[in-house]
Amino acid sequence: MKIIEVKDVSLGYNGKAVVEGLSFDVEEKDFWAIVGPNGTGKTTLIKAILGLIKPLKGRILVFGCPVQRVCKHRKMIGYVPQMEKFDPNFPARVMDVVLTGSYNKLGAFKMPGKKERERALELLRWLGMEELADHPIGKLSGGQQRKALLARALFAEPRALILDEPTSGVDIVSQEKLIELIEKVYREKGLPVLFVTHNVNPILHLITNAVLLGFGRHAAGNREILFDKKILREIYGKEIEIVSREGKKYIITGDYHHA
Amino acid sequence: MPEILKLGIIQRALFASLLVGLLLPLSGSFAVVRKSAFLGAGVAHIAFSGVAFGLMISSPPILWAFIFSVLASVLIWHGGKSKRMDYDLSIGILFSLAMALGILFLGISKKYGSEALGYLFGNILTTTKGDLYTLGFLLFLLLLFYLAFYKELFFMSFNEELAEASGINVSLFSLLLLLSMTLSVVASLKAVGALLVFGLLVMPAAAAYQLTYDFKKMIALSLLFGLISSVGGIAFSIFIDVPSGATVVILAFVIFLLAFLFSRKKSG
Repeated sequence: MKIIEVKDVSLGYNGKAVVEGLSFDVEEKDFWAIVGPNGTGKTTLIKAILGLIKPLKGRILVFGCPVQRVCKHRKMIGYVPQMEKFDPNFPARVMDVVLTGSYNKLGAFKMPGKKERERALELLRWLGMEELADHPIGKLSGGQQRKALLARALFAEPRALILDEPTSGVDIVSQEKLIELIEKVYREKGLPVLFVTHNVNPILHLITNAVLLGFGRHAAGNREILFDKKILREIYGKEIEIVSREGKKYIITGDYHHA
Repeated sequence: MPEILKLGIIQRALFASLLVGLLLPLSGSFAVVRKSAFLGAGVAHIAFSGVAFGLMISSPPILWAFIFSVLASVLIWHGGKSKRMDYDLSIGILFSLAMALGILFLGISKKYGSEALGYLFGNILTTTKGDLYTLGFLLFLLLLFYLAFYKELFFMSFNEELAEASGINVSLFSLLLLLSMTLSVVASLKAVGALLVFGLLVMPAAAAYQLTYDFKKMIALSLLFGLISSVGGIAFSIFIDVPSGATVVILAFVIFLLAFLFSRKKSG
């Protein structure tokens, strides 16, 4: 079943395209990596899938429904946004943030009750952070904040998950733990995942498909395109090393910025 | 009951202070967490230019204060929405233009100087029954709005992008929040004055912000601080016969200072 369909989509701002003619389909149990340097349109693509910005051209369907129109299906996508620095003193605790995942199902004047709180605690327990339920969200480390936002996304019982650079700005140990947790979500909840990243190596074992974004060039397909030196050279305009160590492949590249 | 409290004029002033003390901190709580408190100062001054215009053309000043500030709020909102202007920049430009226009209108009309000053510094002793009904109705309306849409307003105050991705119309709710603050400011203009209304909008909420990580508690505390500041400040001003706006804001500042000093929140 097709969960997300990106059909010949061009994306950009003020009429200027960053990505042109991109097409791919996300199906059940897919784990897509969206890879590319800064400024190649990774977050723009995610925002278009979420219906936050309109594509310049083409169509994006979520569960068969065009996201450009008011579409209730877009609420079926759980989203963890790119890291931003939360105000450390913002008056919200982890529990409050997780409960925002219940807001879609509550009408005007209704507030989350005991049932929702218990479910939020259950989710936090599952993610191994139950003891942080009453902690101010702004006082948590970057990795813990991502976990809280992941719990929030899962609360709404999404049918797909979009994670925008969930490991950036997180120390290596927390990064490993976060990826283990994402793997747990992917495998146990059986949700298709779109994972935006600069660095695919920590998630190579999970990736089933990939979108490679370069400046004005792109490719989308199964995971093998990640190891195709010709495609990588065409898209990124430089040689990219692929090394094998202890039976695992690693892609070696320096992040670069468009001159 | 002291003799002075039996006077209708004093009773009305205390009722007005009670309503204003709840109305402004309610809107102020959202302005403080959304880091848009400066909007309040801008709106108050823009409203004052409306007052001056009303006085110049001999039309109800509060009506024109309302029209001017609602128009300015929509412009500020539109500037922010189209991402062409930061809120602070739009407010700064409209703030100074409004003050210039206010002075110009008063200069052209060459009259009503003392009435205009009343709106600038506030004169709660001139509160009429009609003013009380307006303030009371507005408070009821805004309470209804905040209770009905608390979830949406809290969520977008926490993270606009996430709220929008979850299906909340952030642009519409931003406008409604802005308009609710505008209405609170305009309705409180006569009692507190354009120069000091900002103090009661922001200081009780800023004090409450220092003391809790729970947004609902923050709103409750900010209403309590607003009430103490306004009723206490006005009662004090009546007894020692000094301008009421000043005592209200000084009391609000004392509460803020105590909250700041005893806050367990640390930056970083």
